[in-house]
Amino acid sequence: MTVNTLFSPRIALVGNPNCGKTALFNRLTGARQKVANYAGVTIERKEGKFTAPGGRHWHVLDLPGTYSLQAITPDEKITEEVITGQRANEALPDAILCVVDATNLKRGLRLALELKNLGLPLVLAVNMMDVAKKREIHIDIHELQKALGIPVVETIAIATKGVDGLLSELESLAQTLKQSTEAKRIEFKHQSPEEIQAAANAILKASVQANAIHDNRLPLSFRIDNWILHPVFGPLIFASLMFLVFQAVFTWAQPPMDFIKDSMEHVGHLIESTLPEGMLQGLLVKGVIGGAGSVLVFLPQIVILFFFILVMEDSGYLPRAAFLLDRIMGKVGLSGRAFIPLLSSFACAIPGIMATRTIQNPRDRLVTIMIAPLMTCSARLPVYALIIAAFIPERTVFGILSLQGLVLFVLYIAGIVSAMLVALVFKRLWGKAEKHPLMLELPDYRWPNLRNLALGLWERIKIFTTRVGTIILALMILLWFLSSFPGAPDNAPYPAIYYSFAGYLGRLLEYVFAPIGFNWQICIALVPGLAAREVAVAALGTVYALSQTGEELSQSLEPLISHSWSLPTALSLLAWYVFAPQCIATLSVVKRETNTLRYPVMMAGYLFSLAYIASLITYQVAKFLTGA
Amino acid sequence: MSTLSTNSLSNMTLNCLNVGESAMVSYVSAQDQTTHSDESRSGDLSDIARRLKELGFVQGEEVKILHKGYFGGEPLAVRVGQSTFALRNFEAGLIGITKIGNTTLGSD
Repeated sequence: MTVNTLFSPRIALVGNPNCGKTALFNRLTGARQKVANYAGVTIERKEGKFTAPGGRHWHVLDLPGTYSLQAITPDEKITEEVITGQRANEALPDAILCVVDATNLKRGLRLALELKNLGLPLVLAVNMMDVAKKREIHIDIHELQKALGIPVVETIAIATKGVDGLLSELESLAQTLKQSTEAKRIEFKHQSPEEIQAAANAILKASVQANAIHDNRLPLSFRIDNWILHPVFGPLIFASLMFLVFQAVFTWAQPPMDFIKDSMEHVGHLIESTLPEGMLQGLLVKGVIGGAGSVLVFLPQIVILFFFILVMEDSGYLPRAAFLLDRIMGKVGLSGRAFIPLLSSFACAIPGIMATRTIQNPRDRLVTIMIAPLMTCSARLPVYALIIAAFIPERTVFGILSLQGLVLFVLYIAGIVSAMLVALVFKRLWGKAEKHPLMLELPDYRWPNLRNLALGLWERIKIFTTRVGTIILALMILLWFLSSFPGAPDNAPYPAIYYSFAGYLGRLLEYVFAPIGFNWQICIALVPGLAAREVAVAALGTVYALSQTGEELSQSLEPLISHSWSLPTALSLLAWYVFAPQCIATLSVVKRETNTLRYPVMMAGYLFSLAYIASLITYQVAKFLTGA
Repeated sequence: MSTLSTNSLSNMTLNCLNVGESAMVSYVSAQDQTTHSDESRSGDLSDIARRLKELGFVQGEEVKILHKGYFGGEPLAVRVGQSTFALRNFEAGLIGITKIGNTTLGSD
């Protein structure tokens, strides 16, 4: 035999959704995972490595969950293509590990029988054996192995020792594998669902004995669902949960956000006091620390938000939330699962867009990504606050409502309403005539596993910080460069930024933005505002040559702009920021999540057009009404 | 199609059931009652019908409606075998059933 002990086999994990496949993947590979997208689609590709006790290295590919090998959804299509060797740039795996849920063996067996038809080396892992034993479901592993004719092992993915049996089975499998280099494609005949069902039933009859539990109460999941899916209490529970999440994202995140902000400023001051004034100091303080810091500050919000999302996903609540919202969200062509990403986008569109990974249907996911920036993110608040305080009088309307608060509310609503309209348009553009099936599984509730939670959180943190550390940082430095060079001439009547590339660009933009009432100061501030929306406030400070920062800056800017801008200009800028296409960080995350330049370009284009049209209407109408 | 002839035996489909009612699956058909004339759709519907079978909605299986959405009674939470699925009305409309009254499904 030509057994090479160094041969590192590639094994693909295939299983039904909710069978604990990802938990098993996490158990095997730990944090040694690489998450990317499959080329050209918004479907997550998870690959990992582990070293077996015998020293052999394994490559593991966690394929999207599927109910059968005759794919319907695009993510199932990936699974089908990879294990038949038909996907470009994906080598056919050396072996397949089929994961089935011991408490739902019938459905898992159907998939296992289909996989057996492929003829690839196959091992069956009967997962969640602990739960099955508790429910008095007795599975005769030997009988199962005999009936199926493939190695069968029991696993408990959430227990440390739960995969020991699997590891030794994989080792003996590896002894029989040969390293193949040629590309292979597998053709196989699909069996009818009825045939497979009959075969699965026969195997089940021989190998499984389920004792009826003498317990008259409904199973726990049923009892929980009686509340969670209740016509009245269900939405109430959901609303309270969302309120809790929203509160947590805004209030719990505040101390760590302040800490990050303060530390960034502290480091900035430190550099200012040690380095001589000049280019390097400016680059480090304003470009690197100021720029990347203004995005990094959102990290605590991202961590808290994803903590809740992962708990809801792991426990089985997320599909219930989708169930409750399916009808409402469906009206505008969104999936019920789009709700949470969109809610997250009120904090920041970046975690919102990252959270769209819980939406399985790629088309639904794309529409959700496209409308996420229309949710008023917290970075827009400083801009809104400045303009509202400067132009909207502190008055009470209808006896109880503050006019300023009302304007802010209208701005939020304007974002939501336009998001729904845009979703409808995308539904028309991308939706096929066919009816959209739901077929959403509501799995049994389970306690979230801490290890899986930690791995999931770690992964989001990694994605976000590498983004901030690479593309976003580079763009920030570029923006700093544009705003600082070339320098101002001596005795210049205007602030230095006026003479920079950004200033030049801003003054050019003034021609474009004159019909919507933007003066050159606003136009210039919009350029560094590309970094993050709230940076526009600081940039306005620079344009008006103010030296304060933070709260003080807003206070001194307020009277200044209320005197030099007209009301139509201010309202027009508010309307602009409802759509506000200028957030490079968001666009760069869209690029990462969709794996193509097409969608960020499309997003910037449609947001820009909407912003321009909205501002034009606002400005011209306001000008007409105020008689200016 | 051969499955069409079975339609005439029973025109009761899963979406006709109320919350708490159980039934036996008698057929799964790719013919939606409302879209007979639309040829282009039948291909997609046969995919959905096949998938429903793959999920466990096969002849002779017991199904039970556990919950319904609060607007327009959609979606439906349906118990079949050891799983619960949320279906929209049109998907449930592809599953033909024969009523068997209240049973113990879900309490074992």
